[in-house]
Amino acid sequence: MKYQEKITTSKTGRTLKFLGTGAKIGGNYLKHYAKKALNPALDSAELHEANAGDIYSSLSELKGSALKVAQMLSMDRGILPAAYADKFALSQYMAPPLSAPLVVRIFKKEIGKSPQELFDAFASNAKNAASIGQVHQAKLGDKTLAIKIQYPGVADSIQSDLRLVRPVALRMFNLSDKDLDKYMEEVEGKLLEETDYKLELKRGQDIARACSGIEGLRFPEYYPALSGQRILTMDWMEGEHLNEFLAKNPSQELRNTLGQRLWDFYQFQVHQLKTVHADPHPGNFLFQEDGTLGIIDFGCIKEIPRDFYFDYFGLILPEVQSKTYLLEGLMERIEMLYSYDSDEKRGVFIQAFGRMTELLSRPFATDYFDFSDKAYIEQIYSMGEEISQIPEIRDTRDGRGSKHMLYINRTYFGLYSLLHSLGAKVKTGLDDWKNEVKEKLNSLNEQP
Amino acid sequence: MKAEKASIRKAYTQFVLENGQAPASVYRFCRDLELEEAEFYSLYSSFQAIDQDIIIHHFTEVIELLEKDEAYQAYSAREKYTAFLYAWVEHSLLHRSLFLLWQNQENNPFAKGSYMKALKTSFENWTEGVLSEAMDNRETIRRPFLSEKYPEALFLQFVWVHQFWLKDTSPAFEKTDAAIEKSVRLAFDLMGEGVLDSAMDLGKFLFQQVKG
Repeated sequence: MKYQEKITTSKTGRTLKFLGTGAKIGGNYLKHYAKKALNPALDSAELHEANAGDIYSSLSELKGSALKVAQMLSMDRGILPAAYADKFALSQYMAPPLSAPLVVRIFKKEIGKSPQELFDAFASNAKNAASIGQVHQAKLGDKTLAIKIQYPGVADSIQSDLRLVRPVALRMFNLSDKDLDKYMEEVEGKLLEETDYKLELKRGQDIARACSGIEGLRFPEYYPALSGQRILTMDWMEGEHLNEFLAKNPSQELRNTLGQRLWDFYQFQVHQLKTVHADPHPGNFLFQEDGTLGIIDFGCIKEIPRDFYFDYFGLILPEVQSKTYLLEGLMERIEMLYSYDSDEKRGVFIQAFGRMTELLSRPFATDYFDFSDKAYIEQIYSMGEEISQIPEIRDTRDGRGSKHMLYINRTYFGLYSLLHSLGAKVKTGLDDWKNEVKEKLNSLNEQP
Repeated sequence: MKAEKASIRKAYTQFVLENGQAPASVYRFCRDLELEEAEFYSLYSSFQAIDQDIIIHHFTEVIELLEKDEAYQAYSAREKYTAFLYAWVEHSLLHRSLFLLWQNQENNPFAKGSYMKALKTSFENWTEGVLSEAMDNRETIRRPFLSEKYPEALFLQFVWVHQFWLKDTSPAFEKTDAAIEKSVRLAFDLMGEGVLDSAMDLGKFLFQQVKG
């Protein structure tokens, strides 16, 4: 077996890759201007397409956090091609396993003892790879434990990745410096938080406690004495990943039950806790035939500021969608519209963003929603592309949408694709949160 | 004070760390320790001899610690060597200040890492043992001329890791960990069966065809 012990490709390697992209984009611009000299009517749409294609092919080879950033930003800018969105779940560090001596060393550094001293049995070969580390199985007494160990230097590599992705992102998303920073800061903060396993442990415990009232959810127990900054010890959770689970052809009833658990879990976090597990990718859930859902990995948690919460979910209410002045007010508050936008632009934006909101909030508008509906999911995928083709949106240099939207949209986007893969029909409409949002908005509107 | 190597090493190290240089003379050093000069010379011929002894002693300790570890016994050669490097940087923390001092002393013959040369023989003897195990189970490949040079090549890599560690400023020496993982992988990949052997094999075959 080959122990490839590096974290990611070296920085030099990545720099070359990015330079390659830069050169290619440069080439596209040249081609564009050459063509334009012959045909002045040519607009920049074609150029954008060519650029996006090159950047995506480059980024897809890059992996790591650079890719994650590009994905996060492009989801909001609506440039994410449908085929690419499918690969969303794959954006992980493609890191080779750590060598056994390094695992021992990390244990000694973090906890002061070797795994052999700490556990009754410790499998020195990793069971599987987590996004920025690997997972080992161990036994202690009658307990089976999962131990996540982080690759060394991950935080460093995130920071250097982000510095590298910046110039490309500037061109790719056609954003101003200031607005790009707004989003990059948010993403960098979240990515760095993921490298802090102590924080993850605390959040895992908090969310498990807060969600203990929801039926059918299972959370691992965490072991602080056996954990550190780069080591996280928790119960080994039984259950299957989505693909394995689906391969067994579960009944529609079971699919619906598990889908409902997922939905309830997310609704509760968003509306009650206002803190949400913002990484709904299939690897973080374990499905079981008894209809229970295991939830692991609390590395990526988004805390939703209260003001933003009311503005964002206010957009969904039919009462708001039917009244343009209310809609415009909220859109300005969450930075989708700016007061300096011309009336003409404003009209285009309101229409486009309104359509997007209506589409994304469609499950909320009915009592039950069938996520197996392929047309709906495809519509979501293609909407991004359609919107990015609107010249006013394509050419704006302002970041549209509050930075908080990045992770909230991603969460719903991920949740919908999970539910779609699961083919679940879910009770979605009956929620009291709408009343709370309504009241809050009314009180705002009464103020002069 | 009783004249024995361990206590002299200790007193000497303490002096060097506190004063940033070796004592002015053996005479002075012995006077402070209340030690007969003759006794000193029966153990060490000079301060440099102590320097060498310190590092060789350190190396022996690291190897002893490793051999005692149960997990180590079950490791492959690649893992044994990796474990050695980790143990080395871990236990070298005790001597880090001394190493840095040696490193930066302009007129010290030990400067710029040349003190590691004192380890060459012990290190190569030890690696030969690990490598012969690796050759037996084909983790590494015997190649004419080349395989005799493996221990020497690994010594260069070892010195490089040591230097990297001395310059490393990352928290908990994380970068050294990465440097060890990457460089050991490359070294053992090169020593193992690979593209090179396939190319040689084809070359030999073609050569024989021409001759035939």
